[in-house]
Amino acid sequence: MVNREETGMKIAAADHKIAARTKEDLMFNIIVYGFSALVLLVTIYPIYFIIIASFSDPYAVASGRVWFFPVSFTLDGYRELLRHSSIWIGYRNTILYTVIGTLIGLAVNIPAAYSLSRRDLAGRGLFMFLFVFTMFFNGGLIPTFLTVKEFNLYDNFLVMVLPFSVSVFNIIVARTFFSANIPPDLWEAARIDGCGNLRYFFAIVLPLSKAIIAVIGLWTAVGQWNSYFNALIYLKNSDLYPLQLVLRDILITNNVQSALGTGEAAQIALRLANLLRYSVIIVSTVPIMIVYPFVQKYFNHGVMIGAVKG
Amino acid sequence: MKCRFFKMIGLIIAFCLIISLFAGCGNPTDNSKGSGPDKSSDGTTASAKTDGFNAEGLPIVDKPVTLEVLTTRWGSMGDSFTQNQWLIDLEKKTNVHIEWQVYSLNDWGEQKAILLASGELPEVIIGSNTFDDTDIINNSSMFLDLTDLIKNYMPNLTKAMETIPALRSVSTFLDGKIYSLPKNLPCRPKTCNQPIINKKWLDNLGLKEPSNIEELYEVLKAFKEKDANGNGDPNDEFPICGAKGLNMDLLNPFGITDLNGTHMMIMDDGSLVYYPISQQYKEGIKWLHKLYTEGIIDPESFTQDATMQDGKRKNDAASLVGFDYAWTPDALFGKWSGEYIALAPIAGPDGKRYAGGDENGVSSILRNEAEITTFCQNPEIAARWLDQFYDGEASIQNFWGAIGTVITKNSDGTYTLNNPPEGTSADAWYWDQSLRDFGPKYISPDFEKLIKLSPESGDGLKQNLSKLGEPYITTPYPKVMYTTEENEQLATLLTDINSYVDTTRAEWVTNGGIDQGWDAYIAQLKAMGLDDLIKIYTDAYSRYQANK
Amino acid sequence: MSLIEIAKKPVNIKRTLKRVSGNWGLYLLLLPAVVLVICFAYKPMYGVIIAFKDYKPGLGITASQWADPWYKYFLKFFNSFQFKNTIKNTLVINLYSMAVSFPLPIVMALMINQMHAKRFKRAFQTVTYMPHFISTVVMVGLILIFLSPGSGLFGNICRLLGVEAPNLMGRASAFTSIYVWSDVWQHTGWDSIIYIAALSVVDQSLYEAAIVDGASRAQRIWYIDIPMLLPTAIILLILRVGNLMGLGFEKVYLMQNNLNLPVSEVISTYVYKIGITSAQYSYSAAINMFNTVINFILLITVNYVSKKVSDNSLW
Repeated sequence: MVNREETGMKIAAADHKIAARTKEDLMFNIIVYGFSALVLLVTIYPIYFIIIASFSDPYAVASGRVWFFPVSFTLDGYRELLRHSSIWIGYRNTILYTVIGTLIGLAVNIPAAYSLSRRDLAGRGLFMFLFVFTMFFNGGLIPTFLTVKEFNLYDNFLVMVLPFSVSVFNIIVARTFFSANIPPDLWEAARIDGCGNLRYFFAIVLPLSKAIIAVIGLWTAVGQWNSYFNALIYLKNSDLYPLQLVLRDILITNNVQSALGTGEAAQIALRLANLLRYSVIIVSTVPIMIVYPFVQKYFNHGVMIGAVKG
Repeated sequence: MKCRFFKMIGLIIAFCLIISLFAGCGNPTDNSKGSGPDKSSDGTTASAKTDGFNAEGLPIVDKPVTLEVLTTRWGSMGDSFTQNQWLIDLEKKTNVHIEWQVYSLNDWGEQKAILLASGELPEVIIGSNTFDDTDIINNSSMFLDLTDLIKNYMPNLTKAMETIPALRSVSTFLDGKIYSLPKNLPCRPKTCNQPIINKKWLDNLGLKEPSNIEELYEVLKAFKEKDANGNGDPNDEFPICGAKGLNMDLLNPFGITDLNGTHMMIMDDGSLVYYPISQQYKEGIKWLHKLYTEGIIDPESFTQDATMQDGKRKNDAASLVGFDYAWTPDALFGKWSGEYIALAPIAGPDGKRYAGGDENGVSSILRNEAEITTFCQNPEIAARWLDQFYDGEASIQNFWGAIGTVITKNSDGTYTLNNPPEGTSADAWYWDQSLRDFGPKYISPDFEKLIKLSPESGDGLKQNLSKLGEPYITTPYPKVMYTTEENEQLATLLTDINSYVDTTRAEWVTNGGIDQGWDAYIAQLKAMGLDDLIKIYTDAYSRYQANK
Repeated sequence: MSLIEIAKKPVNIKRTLKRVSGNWGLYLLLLPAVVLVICFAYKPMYGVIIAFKDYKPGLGITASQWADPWYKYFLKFFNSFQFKNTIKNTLVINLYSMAVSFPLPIVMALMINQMHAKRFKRAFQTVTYMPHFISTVVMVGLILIFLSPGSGLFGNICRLLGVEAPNLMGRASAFTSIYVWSDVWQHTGWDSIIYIAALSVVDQSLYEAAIVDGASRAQRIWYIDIPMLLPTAIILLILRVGNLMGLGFEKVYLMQNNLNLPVSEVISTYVYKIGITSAQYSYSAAINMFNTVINFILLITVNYVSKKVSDNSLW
């Protein structure tokens, strides 16, 4: 016979707990949303500042006269950037490098990461050590340059997407993910069913790893988008230049023009150079920021697992 | 079933990957190419391709020949200068076709390293910004000794060196050889930076132009305390405004000038002084501190960057900066430039005036304008081709632009500059039309008289203003040459010592205390190797003097 | 003892080979990365000897003379005036940075995970990762503008409060804090992405079970979220420690001025300044190698400790 009193007390206790939880929830929410709103404000203002600075007189910006609205509204920065037809070539190249580079980067790093996450891989420690070693010690610019030349990759678009596509950092992070989220029992079960490693990887592991693929893909894509140093060293044909290199060139050129010569022309060039830095950020960043929301959906709960139990 | 399929795919992919990566692998190039063809010391060895070579007169070769020439240019100036009519005519006259390789100076640092490392250079190099002293000294096996080539095939340069001996002494390297060719720019002013002051402010306050340091102090004080720019606010003026430090030209009245940035000064009796440890420097810093405490110097002078300083200089609503040192008054202040005038050097506490500059013209004579590498197939042809530049008319056309486009040759034999076309400034136009600062050039003192520049702007204006400072120019520590060991030492000595000098200066100007801290300062400098630094400068200078 | 060892040996080789051939698929997955690393990282590796030679570009690496003695450039660095100061400054900045900017992305990820208002959550994430894309030049420019006592936001706020605005960039004591906190502002959002991804694979049913059991929000975070993040966090921490001697040069260089130089001269800016006077390939290579060796030793140590303590390690 159920003790009514006990049940009653239990229900009361449960109610109390629920009530307590709701109160705790409220406090929690206040803290979380309150604090986030603060962070949001602190973050948004400087970004907004950069946007309006790209439309303002740079000297007004530097003297602190720009607060919420552009001062001496000007489109000169954007006009100067778009005047250079090399920008469009830069955009085209960078989009190509980013897409191809990300695909290659994923194809190279993700399988390696999975492979290294398996405890039954003979020589696992050795491989890890060899990879990590390269994060610390490298031959330096000139030997690497000579090697790239030997492989006939100099001044070839492949040099932007292939030779340096291995990212040990990405491999390590992805490996950690695989270790934590792909249970070994799953492989055992599949093996018993007669499935080989490769098939297992492509058919089972990858679909379960959308989150980490999204992250590594995002990191690789952003890295490609922002890269310019490799282009500087290994590309000679300006038709192959990525966007960042073109923008950098425009920035430096204007700075230089202002340093040479005197008089009005030099001053105009200097003003343009100071204005350009803000416009450059907007021009080079907006495209990549459009990409993130698409990637974001892979980080939402429930897109993933649930497949494992039993 | 499926597993075998994947197995096959896997193997094929692996195979392809390995093959493709190693397909491009040729023979590993030995990166120690070193010197190319044998270099001969007298340069007269005939090479297989020099049949038809003429040792004098034009054309240089009977049958057309190609010469690879590398040069560097600022920013994205590109190779527009190759359209210069004089260069085009030169090619026809000499039968030497030039294959130009033009690099931007933007990233030349890294690319230079790679070029040198690859062990192979183009035949001729032009431009003092391309390879500097250390590049040549460290890689001397790649450059030809030009002494005999000059003697045998370069009459113009030989004559130039006789007229201006500095051209020879500046080009002689430490082992007695000449690895690079010099230049001598036309119409260079003798005074470098000059004091400039806002005349409108002086007029607004009824003050006259200051001529000595006490008057300057009174004027600056008035600028600070009163409403000098006439906008109703007496507090918004910055009489002196710096960026990440103060302009050391401010110490000119104390006898401190440093044209080439070595901190070494040559006194009247010929002795060398390292100015940051001199009494004059101490006096000067104390004076600056006094100005700082009275608010005459912008308190953000040591922390703000150049853009913020420019924001003040070019402020839209009103002019904010009163006094500074600059090349010309119109160089710095945007729309207010018309309010500024240049002054004669300010007399210091000892009653004397000093100005930074050079008797031969500022940055007029420089070496490393052209080199012939050991990879040159026909050094004699290259030498004769380069000699064509050492002529008055050739030089002005390579400094401003071709006669007919940029220069007009008048009926009386003088030369004047044309106005630039719409939409471009004079300077930009000259850079577009010619090699400008770079490449071999020579103007004899007689030829220089034939060049008539407008005194309103640009080089003409500067020549005019320079007269204010000319009687007071100090002898600059010259652009000497250092040995490899000295260069290595300099790298660390300069980094340490300059940082320390800069930091103590900032501290003393903002917070004072120079008297108390002076002895410890000197001791610390010595501990950092100041004596070694001074010895290097002294040795280099003695060598320079001996070569003259 | 030795007999057993001998007896064990051949079996081990056989077993290893069997393991290898059994898992050949895994080696295939590993192959592209291994091939690329061999070709483009190990093949040029001979270049590290530059630090031990008197490298002259014209002669190339193999033909340049060995430094005399081989540790000549290392000794030069140890004896140099800036040795202690630059190392101290580098370490101070890095340790401060690690202490602050390591936990904060985790906190942010946990916070984001607790947000249920979808639109706010998405807006928050988007806004906080944007600063990551600001170039260093603009970032430092902004810092200088905002902190200007005369005309910046900071100066104005001080005046509103009736206080005289100090020139923070001119204070050596403020440099490290400004550097670290501006980094936090710029990168925390982006750095939290990996943690958000890690949290996104948590099984929802775990939360439900916990709620039924009466776990509070704080408890759910402590017992579910944090253990989910722990492996990633530890690995990232290990890698961070393995970079303790490395500090990017651009931001420090732009923030340096003569008033904060005693605190802001770090190894990378020092190497840069030496290179300006004359390219000192061997010297800068030696300094870099010194850093790298220290970093590597730190990495191995921390990795070892982590292995013993938490079973999370690199190898």
